[in-house]
Amino acid sequence: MSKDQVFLSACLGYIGGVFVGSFFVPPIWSLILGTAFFIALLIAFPYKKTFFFIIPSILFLSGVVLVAESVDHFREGTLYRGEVVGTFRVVSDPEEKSFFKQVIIQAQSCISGWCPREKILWQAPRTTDIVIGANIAFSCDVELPRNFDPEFDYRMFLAKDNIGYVCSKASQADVLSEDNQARFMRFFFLPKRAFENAVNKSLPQPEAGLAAGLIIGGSNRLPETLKQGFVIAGLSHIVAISGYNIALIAQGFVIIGIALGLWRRQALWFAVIGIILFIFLVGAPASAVRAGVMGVCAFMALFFGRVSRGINMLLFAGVVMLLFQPLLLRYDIGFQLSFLATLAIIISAPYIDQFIPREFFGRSFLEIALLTFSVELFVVPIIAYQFHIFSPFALIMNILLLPLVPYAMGVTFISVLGFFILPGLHILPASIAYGLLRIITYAVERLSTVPYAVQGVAFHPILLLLWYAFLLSVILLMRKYSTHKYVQTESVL
Amino acid sequence: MSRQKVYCSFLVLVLCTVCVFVAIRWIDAYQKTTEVIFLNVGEGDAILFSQGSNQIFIDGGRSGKDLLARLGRHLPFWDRTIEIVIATHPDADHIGGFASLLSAYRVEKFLYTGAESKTEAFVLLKRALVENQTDILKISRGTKVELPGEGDIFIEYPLSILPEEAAETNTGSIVARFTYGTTQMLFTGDLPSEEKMLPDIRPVDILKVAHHGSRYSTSTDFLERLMPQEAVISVGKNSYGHPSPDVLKRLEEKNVKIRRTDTDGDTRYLCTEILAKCVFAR
Repeated sequence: MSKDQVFLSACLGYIGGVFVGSFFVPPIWSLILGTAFFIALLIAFPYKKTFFFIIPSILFLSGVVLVAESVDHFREGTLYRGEVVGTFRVVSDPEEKSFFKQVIIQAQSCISGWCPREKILWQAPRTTDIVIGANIAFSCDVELPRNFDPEFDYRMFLAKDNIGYVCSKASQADVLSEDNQARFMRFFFLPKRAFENAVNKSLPQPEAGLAAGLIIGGSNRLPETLKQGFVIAGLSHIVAISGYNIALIAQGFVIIGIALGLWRRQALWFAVIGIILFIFLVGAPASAVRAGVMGVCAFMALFFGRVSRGINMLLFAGVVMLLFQPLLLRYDIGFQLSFLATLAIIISAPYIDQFIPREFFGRSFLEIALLTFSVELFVVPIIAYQFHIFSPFALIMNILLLPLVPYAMGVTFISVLGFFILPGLHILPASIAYGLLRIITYAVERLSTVPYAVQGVAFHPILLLLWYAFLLSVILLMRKYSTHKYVQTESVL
Repeated sequence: MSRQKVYCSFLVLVLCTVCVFVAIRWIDAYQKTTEVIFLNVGEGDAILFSQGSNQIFIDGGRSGKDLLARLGRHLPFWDRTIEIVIATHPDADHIGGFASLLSAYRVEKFLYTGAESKTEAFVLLKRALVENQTDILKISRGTKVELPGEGDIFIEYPLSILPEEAAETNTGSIVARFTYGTTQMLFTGDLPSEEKMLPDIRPVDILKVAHHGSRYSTSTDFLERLMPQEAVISVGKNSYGHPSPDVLKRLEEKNVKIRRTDTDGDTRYLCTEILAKCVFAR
């Protein structure tokens, strides 16, 4: 067994454990029995190969235990509730909703009988003048999040971000004087605000909302009908920060780096630094950090063309993220989609590169189409399972519109830079950006009026597992076939 | 220079000339065009008057996101100035979108009756007006807003500037008459019992039905004196039962053509100097 294989099995062991623990909470006796059985096996067959299973097995068990504990903590009502009074810090960029401002706060110190370790989602009045990092003297009778829709586990959806409580009406919320941490956090978010402001002032809505969504993530700037349109068209992923967006940005940085005269490897490091700066630009929310890590994995794999290294990197990134928050695997659709899309890119890109002829007109279009197709094979089942919808036009919409995205992102960025340097300088790039973005919104608007553009579906999760098992088998077969072909060619030559 | 290059250069020159010519013709036609658009912003009012690079808003709907998304469909992307914004009264479904409008566009003047409100929407609007240093003017009957080309907006109601504290906001709602050539349009905000409130009622061609089609407005008596040919109802999904079946019936009885923003989307009237009137345009 090679080092790579040991590493792969260790990662898979932990991820497998988190998966099992997320869906089936095993009774404690079964874990003890399993451990005892495994120890007995090691004693009975003390071979080297048997010992290779120790690390993955231990990691598997840790995964099960960690996630089961988290699920128990949030689901079984072990959370205390009642009135909480104390000093809290705003830990998220406040988000405008239709009837309130959504603010996430974390307790610093409490004078009430208890102090929550988990974050609180506070539905503040829209007039509340508050920014990230602010300290507030806060008092509220907090509640546990309620699941209004039996199909959607809202409580666990919040739990994956360590949010345990909801406050719909605070009895006190006074902003305290700004300390160093608050000042730092506010400055940290200044680039994001300036960027949003520049986009808003240089492009009309809803194209400005789409441009901001493509670059800094989030569909909350789009009107509800258009947001729904993106779901119907299977394009909602482009307005969330995903591994895809990050890989595109990394590619942009490499192009700039090479244009600046850097060598290939230097350009790669330039791109990695660029991604880190980009994550700071968007305020470094956990989702962007995760997407950043996955995007860099995909990009590195594409850059070096090493599938196994790319998969190992991605799995390792997944393990690290799940160590911090094991609930992501089941309850964060963004994590699932980003992980699967990145995996699809890493696996399929080298094969696509290998199987299509070297030079012919439209090669890059075919490459993008095939890459999109492979990503769709991985993500469509999970979208169908989570949202109970299937969009028959998703594939064609993705193939036709995704190639526009990098150009729209690039020109929007140039337009924003122009706006910063001298308002007015942005008009030419903004007109190109508007044209590209308008093509996307037009296509989405038209599609959402087409009857049967979206179909309701419901299926058993076992089918989902079977589908991914099938995909895995195909990948392994392709890998085997590909290696076999390579060896044959070598011998013939 | 090779012959092929000469031909190519000539072709590029011809194409550029055609593009410039088309652009000049388009800008010229655009400058002369006047449009009145009832934006589909859900349950709320938002009416855009656009004449070339000049725009006037009467009300701004409930949501900034919806207002800006609809506005973006009717304004060229480079035009970032709204000359005048008129708030008929301080209810959230009429002013809710203005705070976002002020943050995305340069608004030169804000006109209102003087009536204020303690609602979140009004507090946010006031804050945005101060932040953007917008000129604020209080208006009442007699104020006239003249468009640079043809057309003007005459304020018919309220009869005087209102005090800040108004118990009932709808009764202080601005009523405005737009005149373009031979076309008259009446915008009634949320005013109830118009026939009792308005000092003089003259016939119009197009009526913006008051209060999203509420049964307490648009009475038979009012319609008989107004004699509109078309009526536009700015309405969206709501729990008040707007538009009221009674109002729809009254309009149908008077053979008034009904247009609704919830079913027809943005409702656009095009006013041209040649026809000297406004006609419905999809």
